Amino acid sequence: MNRGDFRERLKNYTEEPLDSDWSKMAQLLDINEKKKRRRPFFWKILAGAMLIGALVGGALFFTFKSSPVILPEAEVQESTIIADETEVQEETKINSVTSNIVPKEKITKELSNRDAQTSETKSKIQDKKIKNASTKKAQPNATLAIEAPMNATTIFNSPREVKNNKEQNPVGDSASQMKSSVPLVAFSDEDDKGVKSKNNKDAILGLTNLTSLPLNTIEFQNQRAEEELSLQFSQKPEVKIYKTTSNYLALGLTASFPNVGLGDSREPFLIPNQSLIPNLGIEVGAGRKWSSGMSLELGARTSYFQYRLSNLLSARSPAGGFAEADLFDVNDNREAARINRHMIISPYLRIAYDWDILKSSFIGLFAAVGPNFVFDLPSTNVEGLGNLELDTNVANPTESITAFDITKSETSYECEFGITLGQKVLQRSKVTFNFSYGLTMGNLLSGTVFLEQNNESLDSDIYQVSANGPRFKMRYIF
Amino acid sequence: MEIHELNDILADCVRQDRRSQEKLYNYTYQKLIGTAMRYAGSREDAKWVFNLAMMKVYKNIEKFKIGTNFLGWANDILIKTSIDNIRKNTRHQRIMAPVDSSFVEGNKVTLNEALNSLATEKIMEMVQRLGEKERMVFSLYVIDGFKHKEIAEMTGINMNTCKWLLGKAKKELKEMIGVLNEIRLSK
Repeated sequence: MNRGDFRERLKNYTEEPLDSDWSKMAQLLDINEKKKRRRPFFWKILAGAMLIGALVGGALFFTFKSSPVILPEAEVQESTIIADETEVQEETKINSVTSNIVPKEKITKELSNRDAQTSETKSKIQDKKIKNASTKKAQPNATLAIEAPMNATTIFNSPREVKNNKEQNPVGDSASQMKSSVPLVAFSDEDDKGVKSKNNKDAILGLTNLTSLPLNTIEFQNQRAEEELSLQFSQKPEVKIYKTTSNYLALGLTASFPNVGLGDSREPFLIPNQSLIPNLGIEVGAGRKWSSGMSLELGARTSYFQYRLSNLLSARSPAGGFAEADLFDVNDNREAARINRHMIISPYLRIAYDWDILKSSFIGLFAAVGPNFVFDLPSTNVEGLGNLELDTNVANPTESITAFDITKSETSYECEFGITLGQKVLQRSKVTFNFSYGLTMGNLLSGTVFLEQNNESLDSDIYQVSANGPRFKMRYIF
Repeated sequence: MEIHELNDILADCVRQDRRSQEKLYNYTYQKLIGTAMRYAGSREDAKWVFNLAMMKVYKNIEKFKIGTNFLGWANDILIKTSIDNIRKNTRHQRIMAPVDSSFVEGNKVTLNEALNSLATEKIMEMVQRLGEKERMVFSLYVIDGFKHKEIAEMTGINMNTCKWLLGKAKKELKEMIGVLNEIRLSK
């Protein structure tokens, strides 16, 4: 009896599906859609975080690129000369660099020989101008004081005269050009304001015990003041660098090792094969460091980890059918084999304290707190399903058990404590190595593995991945 | 199902319309479950593999050019999924062909005639009784028409081993047919 070519008959074999067939398929589609739905949200978050990070990082970089070394300011803040009607004048000189008030004995001595010194001092000042030319270049504020024309000093007996003078010489008045270094306004005692100014100044500066000295020309006094300033700078061209508060930007590479554990400790059928999962990432932070060595930093870390569940876990039979068996991917050895991929975004607030050791090295302690947001990346399994199976061939070839899992990512909160070893490099940059340990509240991932035999559920068990574990970081701070 | 109707369903499946997905499932199941059954060891396994293959179809439906041969495309996915499934099941079974595989050739006509004389369901049942890899190679070579070289590339099995597995499958089928005939005669 020949029924035709069996090949064709097998190829054209048809069979109507049952309703239950579609319902199973629909369940698989639902699970897959659930996984899919989370992905657009993740990409939006990632894109947003990268954009904000780039903007903040760029802004901080350009803002804090040049700052913290502050040189002592060589600027005369104030100098007041007041003449009374008996032509007795007190002179107060305040130098912001030395913060010294010129002693009254010195002033007295200088002024008592004023007639003899007037011509001599003028030439001396001219000599100083030439002699200190190089020093003045390095001391711009001092240069301003000495370069102002000496013969432009004017005596005013009242504020009204000052006003009139300004009106007459609005531009090019050399006295007003020198106002930033040596104010050249003097008030006679007849003027109430002048008296008040004098008294107030004396009270503030504690100069009430200074001896009042007569002075014929205010011009001379101003010249003396400028000479004194020039001498001070030329004799001690010292530049001091002070430790100050500074802002910084930090970029780092991180390696951490999330921990694998089992949720059901009573009668688990899952056995962890691997307790740690390598997790690599980068972090960007911006912070402020105080001269005391303490620093506060705000930043974010992005890290990535992947694993095969079949490598992570083994199983033992819930019914005693086999002692221990491997879980393995349905699509093992294929490109389509399943690998779970996840990304963690962790904003953090970090406080640290550093101590200098040796010449350019330092050691420190730090602590950081922040949440961990975990996102699922597209997995390589084309089905998008739990597709594990139990390899029970060795123990009992006749027993066929299927396993599948549902893994979901979670948000957790963590504290991190560690030590820093650092080295200053280039001019202001530092390279640091951080060794730390993370403690978390909650898990990064939580998964449930179900066992089925002949489409009937046998058992289920939970596995968890938490961020507890050691960490290593290398950071570049600039 | 008319071609234009199928094309409409496929277009709706791209938009992930669930009713269209169901229609496509039923249509494809009817046509291709036979392929799944030839590669799987049981009806349940065949259904599981078919569902896995359909997941791939739904996921990649955007890549399918509407208007071309949908069943051919889906059949390719189904065969590859079946091969993956068999590879998984036989992961720890290292099969090496014996040095002398001369018995592969011969008795070809007799076996084909014997199979032609059987009912389709009976042939399907016998094929499913074959070992995993024998079944896979037999289906690929005899029914789906792939060459040994192609089978070797698809499955990762050595070409000589493929020939040996094919011969073994035929031998087993002959034995099954012999047993079947004996039962018939005894009745």
